[in-house]
Amino acid sequence: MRAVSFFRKYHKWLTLIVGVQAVLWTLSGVYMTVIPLDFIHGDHLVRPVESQKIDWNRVSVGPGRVSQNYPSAQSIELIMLAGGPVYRVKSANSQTLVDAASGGHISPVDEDLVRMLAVEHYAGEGVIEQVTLLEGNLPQEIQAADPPLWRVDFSGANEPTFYFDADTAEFLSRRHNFWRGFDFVWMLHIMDYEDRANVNNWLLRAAASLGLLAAFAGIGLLFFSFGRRRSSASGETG
Amino acid sequence: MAAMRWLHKWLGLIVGIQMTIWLLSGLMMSAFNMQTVSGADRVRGDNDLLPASAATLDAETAARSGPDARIVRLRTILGQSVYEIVGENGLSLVSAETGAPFDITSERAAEIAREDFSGSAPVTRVILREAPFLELRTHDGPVWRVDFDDGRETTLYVDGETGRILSRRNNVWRVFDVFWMLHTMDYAGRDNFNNPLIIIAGISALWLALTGFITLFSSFRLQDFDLISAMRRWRGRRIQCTLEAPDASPASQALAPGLSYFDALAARDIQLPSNCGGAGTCGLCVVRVEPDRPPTATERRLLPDSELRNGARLACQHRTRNDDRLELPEGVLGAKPLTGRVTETRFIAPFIKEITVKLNDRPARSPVSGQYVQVEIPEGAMESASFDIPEGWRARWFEHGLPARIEAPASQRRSYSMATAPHEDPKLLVLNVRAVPPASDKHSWGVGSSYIFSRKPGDEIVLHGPFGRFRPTERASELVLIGGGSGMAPLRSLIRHEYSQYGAGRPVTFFYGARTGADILYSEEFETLAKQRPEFRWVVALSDPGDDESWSGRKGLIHETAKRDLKVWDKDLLKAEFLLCGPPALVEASTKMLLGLNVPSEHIHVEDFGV
Ligand SMILES: Cc1cc2nc3c(=O)[nH]c(=O)nc-3n(C[C@H](O)[C@H](O)[C@H](O)COP(=O)(O)OP(=O)(O)OC[C@H]3O[C@@H](n4cnc5c(N)ncnc54)[C@H](O)[C@@H]3O)c2cc1C
Ligand code: FES
Repeated sequence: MRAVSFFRKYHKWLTLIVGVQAVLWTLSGVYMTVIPLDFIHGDHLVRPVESQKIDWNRVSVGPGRVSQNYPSAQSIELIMLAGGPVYRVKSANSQTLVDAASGGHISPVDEDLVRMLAVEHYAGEGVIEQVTLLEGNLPQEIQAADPPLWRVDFSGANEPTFYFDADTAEFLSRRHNFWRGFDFVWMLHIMDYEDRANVNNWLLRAAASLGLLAAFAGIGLLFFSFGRRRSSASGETG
Repeated sequence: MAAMRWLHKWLGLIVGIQMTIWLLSGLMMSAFNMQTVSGADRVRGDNDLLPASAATLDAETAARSGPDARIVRLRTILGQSVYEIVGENGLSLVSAETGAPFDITSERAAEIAREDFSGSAPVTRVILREAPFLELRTHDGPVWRVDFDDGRETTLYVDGETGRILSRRNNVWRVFDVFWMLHTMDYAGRDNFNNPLIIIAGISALWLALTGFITLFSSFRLQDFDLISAMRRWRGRRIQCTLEAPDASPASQALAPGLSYFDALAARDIQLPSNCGGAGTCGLCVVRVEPDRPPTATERRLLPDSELRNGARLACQHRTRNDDRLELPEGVLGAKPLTGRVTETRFIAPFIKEITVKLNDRPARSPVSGQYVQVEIPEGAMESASFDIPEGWRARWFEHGLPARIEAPASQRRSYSMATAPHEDPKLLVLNVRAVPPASDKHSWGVGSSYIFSRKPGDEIVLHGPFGRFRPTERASELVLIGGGSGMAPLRSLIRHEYSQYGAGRPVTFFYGARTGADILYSEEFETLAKQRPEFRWVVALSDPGDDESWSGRKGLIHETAKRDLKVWDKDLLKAEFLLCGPPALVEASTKMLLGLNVPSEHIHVEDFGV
């Protein structure tokens, strides 16, 4: 078989297998490159909030006491929350909020506090539409976090959502529709349809290998389809 | 579809390499284990509980350490309790027990790194650097670089301010990062995949993929998906057939199952004549089989009934069968392609070029007058500028719209009849080729004719053949030729043979139809011949003379002109043989006219050009 028909045959059959995926790869690639990453991250939705100075007069419980009460603690962080000092106590698999004035346990934080924090952080348009406590299964878009979470939905055009840790009142993340679109095309791009995170999957490896072979055959074909014109042009001058 | 292919090809030229780089780098990144790339596989991962001594810390000492603090974080570094204080002027570390500054010195940095690293490999070097730099692109500030001698040159970066591990690099990551750079096309910073270069390349690649995808639909035939036959072919299974030919002794041939005879023979380098490449539209791939095989509808349309009854079939319409017997036409078995060079080209009518080819070698089988050759039309583009259309005739070309380029999407073959008699010079081939204008808006100029028109003296040309049995029998006592346009070629060949020393010199009447005076080919040659040879008559009729005052000859369609003469023929029509050649309309109308005059069909020989 002549090289050119060999290349054509392989290019044809391999792209029959990976053609759809090639369209998806380039389509998702264009989405990811055309929209600036900072926008995808939702930087425009968040206003920088500086934490308040610690009011030491109201700190009556020392860090030592907290560490006695929580022997598994790995770090203890003193901050101001809603005007009062609190300790964020983090251990390997749990975290809580402790009132630095009374030593009392204040997790999970209530909806009013979360609403206040959300308004403080939000720089987008629209108002809070809904605040929900998520305790069990988390939605795909915030899989990596640990429940319980507060989910705050805003009424902006892009359906912005803020997530707060319900135990520590920490601002965890923000989502909006372009982020969700990005997450979806990322799934198509890396072909991990379950967790959307594992690039080491065999489906992707197989598709990329076949795609690469198809590309090689395509390059081979190019060589022939443009190569002939050169030879006929040289025939003209000679 | 041709436009799609054209686009796909050019886009391939522009982004094909980058597409390959994306696939390669993507595959490599997918192949590398992310645990290794991130260095997570060599992290000790102990739980760093606060030291027992932390239990004694009170609020007052804490307040003294950071009176203006916004955040005070109690952590463990190297087994000691440390306050990380975030205040007005940034971040600082103090020992929680003594309140003294806790600086991340090079010793501490090395110790922190060693505590994090799971292996026993020694630290080889600790140096202070200022981020950001290539291996640490998103951090700002002083960092300790701690190198390990662990066989993959692991480097841990320890934050000079907080003592935290910022990242874990190793040679796997370093290679990975090069692929990442190739993937993002950000050759300076490596991380910005919103750069204009990748956006332009990405959009082009999207079009490359889309045009390719659309092209796919027309790239397959149903037969391609006959998996069972494909499996059998792949396993090397073959079908045994007997091939016969007038010019070869019968031989057994192993052919691939599941293919048409046309394709299966082509795979064995036995090339049947064809203009359509096996698509079932040209009717040239005629072979003979046992007549009991039912003809397909295509065959009934393309072949005359008398031929079908004799077992003539189209090889592209029947699949290979075990123990089949097939009779191939002359000049196919054991034939080799002929090569030659163009020596001369010239326009002889507004749309017809005469092209002369000198073959490199004498054909193994001598051609016979009236035969045709098949020209290889390679895949690629032809520039219409290279047609060299004479000034005065350009307007007639542009009536049809002439694009700058005409594309042959795949290599194919086209038939062209010889316009000279072989005895004149067996190595010389003269062809009369007519440019075929677009059949509709959606089509372009014919690829084969465009290819011939773009040839220049010196260009190489590859041919097959000669083929065909377009000639009178020896029984005929008189010949009547009817032709038009480039249908001139084989008729001229027959006439030049007839009146040469090898011919019988029988009386010939040549009815030739053309549109205008300019479209008549070789008129001087035939007028001269008519003067020298009283038994030769040359009758021309113009179908569209317009207001050409100088034309005093016949007008109208050539078959009607011929009919008028033949009706009052002074000799016995039954002893004459008729040779018709040209476009299908002419051939069809003339055949009908002759049958109407009670000419037996076996006295009518036809060469239908199909266009
Ligand atoms: C035995 C034999 C001898 C011949 N001898 C001569 C000769 O001496 N001189 C000569 O000039 N010709 C001769 N021909 C005709 C020649 O072989 C070609 O068929 C002719 O040149 C047209 O080929 P092409 O590649 O230029 O056109 P093609 O590309 O095959 O196109 C032909 C026409 O079909 C249209 N078309 C293209 N694709 C499609 C489609 N998918 N659907 C519908 N329409 C389409 C085109 O626009 C064009 O009008 C001979 C043919 C035969 C069978
Ligand atoms: S190859 Fe053209 S009809 Fe068979």
